[in-house]
Amino acid sequence: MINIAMPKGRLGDQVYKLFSSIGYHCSSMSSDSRKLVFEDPSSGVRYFLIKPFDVGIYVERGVADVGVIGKDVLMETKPKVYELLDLGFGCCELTVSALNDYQDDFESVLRVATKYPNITRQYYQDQNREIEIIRLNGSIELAPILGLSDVIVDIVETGSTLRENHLKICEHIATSSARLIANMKSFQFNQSEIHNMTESIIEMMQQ
Amino acid sequence: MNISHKRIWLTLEKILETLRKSEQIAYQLRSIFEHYGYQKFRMAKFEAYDFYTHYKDFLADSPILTFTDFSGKLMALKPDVTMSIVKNTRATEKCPEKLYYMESVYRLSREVREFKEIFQIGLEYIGKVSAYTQVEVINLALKCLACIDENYVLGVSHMGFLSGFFDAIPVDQTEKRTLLDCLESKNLHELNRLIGQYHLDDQLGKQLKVLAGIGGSMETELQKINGLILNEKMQIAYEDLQSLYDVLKRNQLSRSMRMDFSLTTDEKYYNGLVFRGYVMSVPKAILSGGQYDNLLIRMHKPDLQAIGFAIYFDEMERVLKQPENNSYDMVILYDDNSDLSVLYEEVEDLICNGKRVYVGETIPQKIIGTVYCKMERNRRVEIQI
Repeated sequence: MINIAMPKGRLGDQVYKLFSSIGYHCSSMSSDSRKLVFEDPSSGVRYFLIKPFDVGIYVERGVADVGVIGKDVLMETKPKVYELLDLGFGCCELTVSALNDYQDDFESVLRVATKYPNITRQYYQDQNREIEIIRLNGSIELAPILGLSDVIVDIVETGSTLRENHLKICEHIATSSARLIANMKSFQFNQSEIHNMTESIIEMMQQ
Repeated sequence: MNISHKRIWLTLEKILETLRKSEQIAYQLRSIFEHYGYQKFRMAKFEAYDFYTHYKDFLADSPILTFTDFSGKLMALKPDVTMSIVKNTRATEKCPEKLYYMESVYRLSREVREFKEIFQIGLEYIGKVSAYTQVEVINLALKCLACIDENYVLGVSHMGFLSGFFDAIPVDQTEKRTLLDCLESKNLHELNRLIGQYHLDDQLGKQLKVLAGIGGSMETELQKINGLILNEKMQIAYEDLQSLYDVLKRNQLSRSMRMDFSLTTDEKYYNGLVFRGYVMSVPKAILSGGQYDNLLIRMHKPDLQAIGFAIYFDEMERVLKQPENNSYDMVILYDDNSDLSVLYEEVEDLICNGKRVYVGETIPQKIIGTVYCKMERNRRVEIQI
């Protein structure tokens, strides 16, 4: 039985479609259900639906053998796992954004609202810029509108949320997409199954 | 009735039964090390903080737990055992020291950002590391893993091979670190991208990808890495690995060895063989070790070489958790009318016969007895609960 940690939400649906197509079908899986664990003994698979930021923890601690996580979350949480594949979907940009009329004052401490404090700290450290991090859990775009922060560091998919809130992209930090990760111990003991899984995914991606 | 002193002690078998699983493992490992000529190294819990400031780069940025002693000297709770052993070693090239330790270290937990006491059992060989020393140490690492869980894997890599390979690649230190990060996380897609970004020629790029994919049995992977040799450093490392496996393959334990170049570790510390052990029941690596001549050079002992490993009990303890044993062969109740001398003799007699006995005026809810008795004056009477 292989345990797969999947991010809840839209990305999770895409991930399940992919895994189902390579033989990890789970008949009890339903997006309407409030269940968090789905198991199909005939396919030898158990799925866990997990908040995207927690996928790395479940895989690092071996509760899940493999998992799918955004590169942005991987960079932020740095779990000790193997990063086996770039799945090529769930793409987005990690950027610095601000109000359309914002002009930076390089002599002042920059107030940055984000749910990526580690990436933000590293990014500005590399620029020798003094910042104050304001850690938020959601609706980051609201922070500069209400004067809570000067800029935000967040992911941007299409840019429509930014546009609707009169925000613009100022700097590009990194590109993110969904990644297949594996627990280091599980990889050692299930090498052939995980290897076959990655090979099948690569084949699917090439079709 | 007088109780003979010979009857006071429990048999060794009974004592072993009561040990927790982790304690049983600890004593098994100790016994293995002793049989192979390793002697227990004892040390104080504290070390002068000053000592670590000289060798801070070996402590992987981990902060150190400190306190001031009575004389005003800043002391540290040991974050590492090997450095203290190397500092105190009396080994010479001709007269090596074979040591093992059972100690706690105090380190910052990456996950909870708090200091943790981590119990370690480790082994160090300091002197001249011969091919046989490598065989002996890897053999012991395999035996330790086999004691802990019958399903185990020991990943083996060689810093000389990696270092030789990177000598042949035209990249700077930062680029090298980034490439090594990809090897560590088996990140082939990023490696592919970097090969292009760093303009590595096709042949080197291909070889780097082969290296990143090494992760199978020693037999098959030795053949693969033979085709990657680019210089003398890599040739020497290859021969080290080959001769190690040639000897160890005589033992079935070696079937659990895997060659794995995702084990890149710290070049400042390790220079030769490096290895990491996993067991099925524990989600993280529980054994880590290697040859660390570089530490000896830094600690002004350049004539010596050393190899060793440590087994971390913190991860293991989580898995080996055992519920409290509240079951007793006999539960005996007594009251003010009970004859305490008879009760005492009865209890001693039962315990010397290997029984677990709980005695009390009342029975706590969690206590479960096979037989329940009550001491009525000088007579033990069976009762129903």
